[in-house]
Amino acid sequence: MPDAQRIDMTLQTANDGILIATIAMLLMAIFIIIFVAYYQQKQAQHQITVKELQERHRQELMAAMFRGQEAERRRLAQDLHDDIGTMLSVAKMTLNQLERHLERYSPERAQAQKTRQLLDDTLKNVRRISRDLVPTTLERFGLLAALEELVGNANNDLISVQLEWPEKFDMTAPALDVMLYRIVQELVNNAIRHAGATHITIRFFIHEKELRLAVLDDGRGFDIDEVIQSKQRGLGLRNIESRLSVVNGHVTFDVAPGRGSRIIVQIPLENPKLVALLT
Amino acid sequence: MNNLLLFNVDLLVRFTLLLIVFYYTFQYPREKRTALLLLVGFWILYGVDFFLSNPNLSDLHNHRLNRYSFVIESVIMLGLVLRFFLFLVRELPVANLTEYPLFWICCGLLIAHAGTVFLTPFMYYYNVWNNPYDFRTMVKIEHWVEIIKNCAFAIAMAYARRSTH
Repeated sequence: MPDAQRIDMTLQTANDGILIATIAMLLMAIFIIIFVAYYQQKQAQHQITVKELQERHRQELMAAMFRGQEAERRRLAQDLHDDIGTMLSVAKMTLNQLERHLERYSPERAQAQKTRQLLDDTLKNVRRISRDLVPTTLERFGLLAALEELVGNANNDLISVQLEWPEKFDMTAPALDVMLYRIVQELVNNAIRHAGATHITIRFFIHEKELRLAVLDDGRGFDIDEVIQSKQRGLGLRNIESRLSVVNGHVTFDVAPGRGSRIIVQIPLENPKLVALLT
Repeated sequence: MNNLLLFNVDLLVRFTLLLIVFYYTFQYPREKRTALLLLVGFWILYGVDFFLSNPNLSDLHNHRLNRYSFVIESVIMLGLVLRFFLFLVRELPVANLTEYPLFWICCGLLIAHAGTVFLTPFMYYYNVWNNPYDFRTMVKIEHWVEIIKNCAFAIAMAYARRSTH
């Protein structure tokens, strides 16, 4: 065999070898790409499912916590009303009887009257605390009546609270009513006690399958980051966020020191299953 | 004068740019350090290889491709792409992989270098004026994988553009 032919054959063999190796490498590369894409998608899907389950579990836990909180409040309110309230009433009656045996204009009678006044105040406070713990109006007459009562109690010579309620507004589940009532209670309380507001507006409206609640005030505002970081002061706001997270709700704080606040709560009404968790 | 000098320059530029991409993509300091070491090592090796492959630099008519740099580039790129794929699978940095630009860049690189890794050792020998070897099929494959690589890069750029707008 001539040299040239032998060289050609060797080259041809080398060429074939490289070609086969290259094709094998290419097939392997394609296999790796397909494997990575498929495996990654599968893993990502699995992670999404796990996250959804975790979120669901967290929502269930939060809902259970709030249900427990409401039950505990109810029990406490009942104890206050039935036990302490009753005992205070009995004490007042006993004091009245005792007062009748005392001489008119005597220092003892004046002391008894003073004690009766104190008992009256304490009874009023017990009733107020009991009412705050479980708003009976909410259970009996619904959210609008309860909010009107809340507004009525908050209004005085110095503070004006306004409630804007749309005409056509079918309220949602009772559990959601409790949540909304608690949120309004917290926000109004904050506006009066911390921001020193004199005008507060509570506004309810439906916007694109979403229930919106806006609480506006003319108070001195606050620094949201500072309040959220503060363990004690931020408790109420964090509580609102926790309550809303159960129903995939959201709260926006348009606040700054030195000016009035706008706090907007958004609750999607598309998922009744989440609301049912609260019941 | 031939145009092989441009191929040599292109090798250095593309390798440097891709290593910078990997440097910023890798999360761990050890990987970042490795990427930097590879880059510096490659520059040194490239320099030595460049002068050894072309002892007479002024002779641009007979300028030749670097003898070893292309093979080393292919091997390093294959290693880095496989490491990146391992990172993608293990740490799931993105939810939708097909919309992740770097995934497409790595796909292009993997196919291009897998298709040329066995050809690159011979590039120094057959890219001359009187080529004695017949690598027609291999060269065709090289062209095809280059086209695929460019398509993958185009997809990556399209997704990158979309994510920045």
